Amino acid sequence: MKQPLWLLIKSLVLPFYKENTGVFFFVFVIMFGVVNMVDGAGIFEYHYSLAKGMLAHRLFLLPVLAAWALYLRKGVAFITGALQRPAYSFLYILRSLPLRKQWWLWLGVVAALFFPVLVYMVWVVYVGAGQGLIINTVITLGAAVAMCVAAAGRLVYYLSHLYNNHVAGKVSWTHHITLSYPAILLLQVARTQKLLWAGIKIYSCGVLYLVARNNNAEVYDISFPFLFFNFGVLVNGMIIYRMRELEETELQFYRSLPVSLLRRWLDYAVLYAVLLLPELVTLAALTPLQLHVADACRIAGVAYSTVLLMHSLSFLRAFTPGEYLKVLAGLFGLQILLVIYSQWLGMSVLFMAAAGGIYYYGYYRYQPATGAGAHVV
Amino acid sequence: MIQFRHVKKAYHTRTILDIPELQLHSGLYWIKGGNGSGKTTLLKMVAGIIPFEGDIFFQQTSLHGQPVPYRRQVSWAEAEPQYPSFLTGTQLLKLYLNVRRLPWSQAEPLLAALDMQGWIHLPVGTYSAGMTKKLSLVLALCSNTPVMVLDEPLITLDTTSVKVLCEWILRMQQQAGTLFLMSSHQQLDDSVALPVTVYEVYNSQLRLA
Repeated sequence: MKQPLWLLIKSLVLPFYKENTGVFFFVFVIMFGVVNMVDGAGIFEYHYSLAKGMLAHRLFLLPVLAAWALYLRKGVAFITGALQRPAYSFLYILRSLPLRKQWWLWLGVVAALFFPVLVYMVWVVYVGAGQGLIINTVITLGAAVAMCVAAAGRLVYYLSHLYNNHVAGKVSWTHHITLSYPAILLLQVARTQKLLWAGIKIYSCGVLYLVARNNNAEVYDISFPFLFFNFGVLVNGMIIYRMRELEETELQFYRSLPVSLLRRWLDYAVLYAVLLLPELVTLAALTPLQLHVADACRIAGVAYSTVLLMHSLSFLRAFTPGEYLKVLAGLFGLQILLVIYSQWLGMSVLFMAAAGGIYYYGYYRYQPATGAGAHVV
Repeated sequence: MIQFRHVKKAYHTRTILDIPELQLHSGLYWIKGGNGSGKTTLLKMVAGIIPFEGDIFFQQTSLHGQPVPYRRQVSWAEAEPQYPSFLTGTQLLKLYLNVRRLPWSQAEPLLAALDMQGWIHLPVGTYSAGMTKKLSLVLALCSNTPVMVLDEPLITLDTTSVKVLCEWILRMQQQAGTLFLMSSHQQLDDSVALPVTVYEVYNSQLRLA
């Protein structure tokens, strides 16, 4: 039993974590990275209050449980999607196991998918027991167990019905429309990165809104709040990284098509404008009452040029996720420096020019990391 | 005519391909070579997918100097095609046809010949390896470009499809003078005698076999 479970974790769960590295990084930073010591209260007190608040108020508990259920649903959808691919057809053999064994096996997989939540559950139980909030702690624990049990059952059912046409050949409304290249990339984000994208938007639009709404002064300094906002912009790099991965594997053929560099660039420009639309709309909504027009333009200009630059940098070489994160950290350092010297316009112009230059230089010179022409032996 | 000028491809310090000068006129070319000899690398270079030193010309159009006009003349089908599983064959075909400004009717005869009309509208994620291969061949062949670069065009195809494909290639070559650059480990279908010129990649050189 141990070996098939490890095989399933390696082939289904680890790719899930890999694909959602950006989400986990973002959530980790929000949960642990941005929490500072205030009045002697640090990260321990912060999380203690969170868990206590959740267990003490069912109105707070319900959305948390709903978020966990959504997360698990996303994980299960990832696995069912993978099971449809020819590369995973070897898992058909699992159908020869008794249903009970299959269920235990999938329960192990679901537990691995749900691992971050289960770890947090230990903390919740600790807080609940300490605070005497036994009923809500049991409800939370019971809900988490029920989710895992149901998810494992769903996977057993899915595998047994995998080769029924109505499951494997499901046609969605998106299959009936003609898609341009940027629309394909957007669809990919909508399919696999929507959680991360929505998280970024809630964070960056939330920061913008809270800062601007609380700003009553005529003269104010936007530099510090901008850096908080800009963190959200930089996390878009994770979406860009995954999109570029798709381009270099399943969309590699597009490089061989007669499309000019300018047209390709305009496609990317439109794509990133769409991805940044919530931030741009929030900026427009806060202007001019809470935010000066000039500041809104500065923030929008830097955000857009940063996203384009992050995209162009990915043409310099095939970065690993870790290397790419370092590049983004370097970019953030440069931004801090330019903000300190109030070089807003300079930053937008510099980033836009660098994005265009690197893209023009790098697009056809890019060497993929995998496939022929990369690791030829 | 395809012309290679001082073409070199190295990975780290190892030279994979070194073709100082070579001209290939209209015809059918079969590139042979052992695993990892650089066949696919060569074809990807001709298709403009990976970078290299030197230059490749079709007629007088340079791949590096005039990337878009060059790509208008060349079509590419890879050995083990991969496409986003959420797209349908129809969507991919429409994307190709739109980029090349061709009507849907251009692809219909080929879809019929390869018996693809029943499933082309389904998501690629539901295709078998053979179906995905057929799709990649249709995407390349429907564009009617004067150069077709087909990497391992016969693998995973059933025997009927191999015959149809060979007949199609022969007809395109005879009627339109298309230059086919193909690589394969397999033998061609005996019933369709393709007059191929065989080249071999050996020791980073491309030479007549």
